[in-house]
Amino acid sequence: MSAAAEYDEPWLSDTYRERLVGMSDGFPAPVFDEFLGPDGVRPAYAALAEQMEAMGRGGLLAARAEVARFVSDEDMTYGGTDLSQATRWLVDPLPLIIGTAEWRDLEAGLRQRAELLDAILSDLYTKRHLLQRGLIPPQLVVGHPEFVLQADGIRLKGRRQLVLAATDLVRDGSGWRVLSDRTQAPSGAGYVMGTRRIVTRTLAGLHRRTETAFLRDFFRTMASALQDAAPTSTELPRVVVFSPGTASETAYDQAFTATLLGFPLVQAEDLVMRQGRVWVTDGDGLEPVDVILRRVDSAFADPLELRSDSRLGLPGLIEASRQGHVTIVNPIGSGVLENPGLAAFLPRLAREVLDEDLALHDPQTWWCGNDADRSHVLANIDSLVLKPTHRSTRELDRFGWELSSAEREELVARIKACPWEWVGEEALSVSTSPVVTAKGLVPRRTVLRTFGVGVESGYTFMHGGLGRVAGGNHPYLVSNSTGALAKDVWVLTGATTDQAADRTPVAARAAGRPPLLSPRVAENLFWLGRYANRAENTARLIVICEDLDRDYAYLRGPAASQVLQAMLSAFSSLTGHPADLGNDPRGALHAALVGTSAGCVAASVQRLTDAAHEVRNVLSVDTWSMLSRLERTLDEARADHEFQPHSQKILESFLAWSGIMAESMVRDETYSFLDAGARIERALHTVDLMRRAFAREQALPAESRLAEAVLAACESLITYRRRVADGEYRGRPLDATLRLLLWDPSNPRSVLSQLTHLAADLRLAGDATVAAEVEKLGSAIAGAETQDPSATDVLGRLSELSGELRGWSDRLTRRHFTRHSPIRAQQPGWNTPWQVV
Amino acid sequence: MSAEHDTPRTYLVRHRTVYTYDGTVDAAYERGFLRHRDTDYQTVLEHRIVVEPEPDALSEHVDFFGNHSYYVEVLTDHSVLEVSEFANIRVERTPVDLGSLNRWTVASAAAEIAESSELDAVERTAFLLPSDLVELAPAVSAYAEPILGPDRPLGDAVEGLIHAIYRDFRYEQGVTSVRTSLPELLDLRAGVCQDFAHLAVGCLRSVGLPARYVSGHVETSPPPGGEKLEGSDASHAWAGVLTPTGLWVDLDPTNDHLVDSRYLTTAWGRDFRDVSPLKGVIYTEAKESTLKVGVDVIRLPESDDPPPPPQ
Repeated sequence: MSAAAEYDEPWLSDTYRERLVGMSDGFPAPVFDEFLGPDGVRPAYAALAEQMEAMGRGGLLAARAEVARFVSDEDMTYGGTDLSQATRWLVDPLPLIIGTAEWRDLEAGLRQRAELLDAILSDLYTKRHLLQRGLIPPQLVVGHPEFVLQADGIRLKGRRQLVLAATDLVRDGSGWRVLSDRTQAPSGAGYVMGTRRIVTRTLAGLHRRTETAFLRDFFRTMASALQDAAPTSTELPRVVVFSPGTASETAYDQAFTATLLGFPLVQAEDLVMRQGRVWVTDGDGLEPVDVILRRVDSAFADPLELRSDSRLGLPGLIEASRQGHVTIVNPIGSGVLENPGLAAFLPRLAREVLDEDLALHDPQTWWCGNDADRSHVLANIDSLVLKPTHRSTRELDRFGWELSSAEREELVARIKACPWEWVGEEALSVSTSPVVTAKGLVPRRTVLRTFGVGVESGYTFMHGGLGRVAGGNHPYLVSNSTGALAKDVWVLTGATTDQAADRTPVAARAAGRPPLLSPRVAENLFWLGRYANRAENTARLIVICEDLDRDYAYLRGPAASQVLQAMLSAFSSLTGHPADLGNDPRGALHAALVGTSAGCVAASVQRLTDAAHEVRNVLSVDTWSMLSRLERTLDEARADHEFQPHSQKILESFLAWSGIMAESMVRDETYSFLDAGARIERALHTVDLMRRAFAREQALPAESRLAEAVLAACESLITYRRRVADGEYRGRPLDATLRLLLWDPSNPRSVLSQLTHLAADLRLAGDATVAAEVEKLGSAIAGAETQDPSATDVLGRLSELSGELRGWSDRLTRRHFTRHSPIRAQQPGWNTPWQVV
Repeated sequence: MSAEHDTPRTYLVRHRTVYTYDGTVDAAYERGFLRHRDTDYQTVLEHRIVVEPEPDALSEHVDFFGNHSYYVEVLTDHSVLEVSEFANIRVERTPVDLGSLNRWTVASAAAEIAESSELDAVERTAFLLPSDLVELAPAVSAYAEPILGPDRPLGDAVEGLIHAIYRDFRYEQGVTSVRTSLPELLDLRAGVCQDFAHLAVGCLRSVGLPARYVSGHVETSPPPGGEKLEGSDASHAWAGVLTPTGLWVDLDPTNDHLVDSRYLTTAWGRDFRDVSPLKGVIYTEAKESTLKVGVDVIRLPESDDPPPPPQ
């Protein structure tokens, strides 16, 4: 089929072609476009083009919006050392499509490259024949910051030293070329799966009709490769994903990769070094760790041996790996392969080491440590890409043609001062692919990251990878830090596959063991429970107070005034927000909804979100769409003084939250800490609200209305009314309210009910001691009922009860959430210098 | 240099490091060079390490540079940590004839080393490149230039370097730290042995001669007529330079002479960072710590009997 004739809709190809031809960003022309060839749409894209035509410009923009909404619902983020600065993952709805044969060739080249890099890595940390023989100049490696001398002599048990091999590739007219190798701690596999799930939902029909290789197999292979890497043959080796924490740029990727692999995500504080071994804390105990999938860069991984100021690493980690107690994947020091200077030597290395010709080519590279190469670079600096041999995030590659004369001069001086730290590379003609924008389709420079995993017999590659195109900020710098967009990559199989496989988020491996519950995870779950409940309680209180305020506008009168005043004063003491009647109660209530100080709903939601990020991979994926909705509602409420509808929506979100927690959390220790937090928070709220609201005795009509407000704030008003109607409650409304909210076992909102659940939670968490105390208090409260105490007596004892509840929270903290003491480095100074007299 | 310091001898070395904290330390992880190297001029006859409290792990490996590196783990709660090394070491250095090095000039030696296929290319490179504490800044080259001019005979140049640093720099404790860079040192014109060793290494590297930082101990003499005080000997640092034959020449610019048989080599590396005697990471609420190091280098009487075991 000739694609050319059929897809000549002007919006689709002509304008796009004009834009392609018109590209002038300094790179060599002509540009290869992934989508559009000289004869029209390329064959692999035929079905997509047909679909695009059917969708039209509007449909494509709608798809773009839908993709953005899914990203937000899944909380896919990138970047930022601060959670509030993290940006959304950006996705273009149009996939990159790679044909079957083309992929097969690319994979063969990648396989060869991974074998070669593996051999180099293995040599560099042992015999260093390649350096001694001059196949790699020692200067290129020995002074490189990622050549970790402390890791010298360490070998993983199996044949493979480079287990994970990721590669950034671009395509020019002649085929795929390597832009850089990612061997330090390759990121992105989780983003690939996240992006796949989103794009295939948006283009569901097309994806179903297209025979695309799926990704799940890769995670399965990776999981077993990691288990096989265990230093000793254990039935079920303990593998952990070692993350630098939620402030990391790729925190989403780390957590989702861990989920896909079925291994727990841990941080430095979850690990302990003991007797030269690495252990992970689990409840009150320690479990030996066999394999660490390392997402912490080498320099930060072991503060004893490397950067002593790192708080992301474990002191002694290198020693544990040297002693063969733990396998680190990729091993410490693997980042040395990211040195772009190696490219200059790979063709010869391939012949010497593998006895093969290098299949996949790098851009032609001149290493400035070599005199002739340096002269070439300095003479041709305007047309080359200049790279330091050590990539630090702050030092982006320089494009020679972009340099001002002052910049060029500075760069030349730097190259001359330390020539071995610089390379010049030929500028490749990087291919483009179409991106959906408001102006229509726009060609953008495109990079593909592939992912390989090495096992004894060879390397296996993910069928596809992470496609990225330049963002609007820079024409050809494809980096997430400059706003690059992700593209799903479809590798055509030419055979029918089960397309549903990649859409269901199930761990690639059966866990085989209960999830780890480190003090950090337990504590975050506990506070997740508390903050969710606190935000909900506060939101409800705001709704009630606002109702009362509105009523008061109509009713006036002393009773209405007293009720409003009592509730507002309770509100103030519970939330810490002054909201007195004389001033502007509505303003204060609005502030308490959207404000950022402690006690506000928005502040609790922020703390809740922070805690959720810390325990991302034990939570249901639905959590994120609920949190994202909640954030959107708060944003709307910020802009709108009429906040009643927003606070209602917030309450609905929490209803959804309770549903998710009740329906999709396994009833294990994980759940027990989350629920314990929620129970303590609700009991505290109920007790404190009663204490404050009923602090002053009221006349009957006011008392009755106040009681109803408190009952409504505790979600027990309907029950109360039914009981009254049934004639169950006689006497003053206050007595009945206290009874219903404190010790009515059939009211699921009563304090007694919270204690019953709390005790069960604590037993599930293995804390029989505190559970017994909670049960004892529960019986005491239940027993008090038989003595028919007066309301004054009961109210008098509430502050004691509140203290008791707070005490448990502190005790749980001490008993279960104990962290390490702070870590400090001792770097000796010039302590014993001597001059011989 | 008198021949009395070149005679073969045996030393007993005691090196004690004591950390004292103002609170409890829950766990301490340490890495240190707690054993002297065996070299062609020095043999460790006996060796013992004592860690107090009893360590939970103590292991040793030979590092990239061939040094004995120790990992120590103490998980017992403690407020004092003591790490001691005891060793009997036999030393017999052959005096270096600087005059014989004069058959090369600085430039010809550098060129011969660079092209040699006999020398270890990795080692040669490691000791030629700048390192964290040996920045090859223009100021360093400028200082080295008149001393290590390309046409100067190698032996004279090395001797000139020792004298120049001794002459130009005041020995003064407390003016420099582990973070002082060579340009800063060149401004200060004062420092301690570690600084002078770094500067010598930097000057040699800047003219293309591979040079290393050596850490160890030196026997000191009691003040005239006085008793030698316990713990009064010292950790010391000096520089080593590679010559075209593969011979390393050790020089002590702090004391204005070549290294002789009073010097005991613990470890060498590119600079202090590679061979820091003992460094650690601790878990503690304590805010303050004090560090005390006591060193004794005791020359044992020569006899036909085997030397007494270290205690």
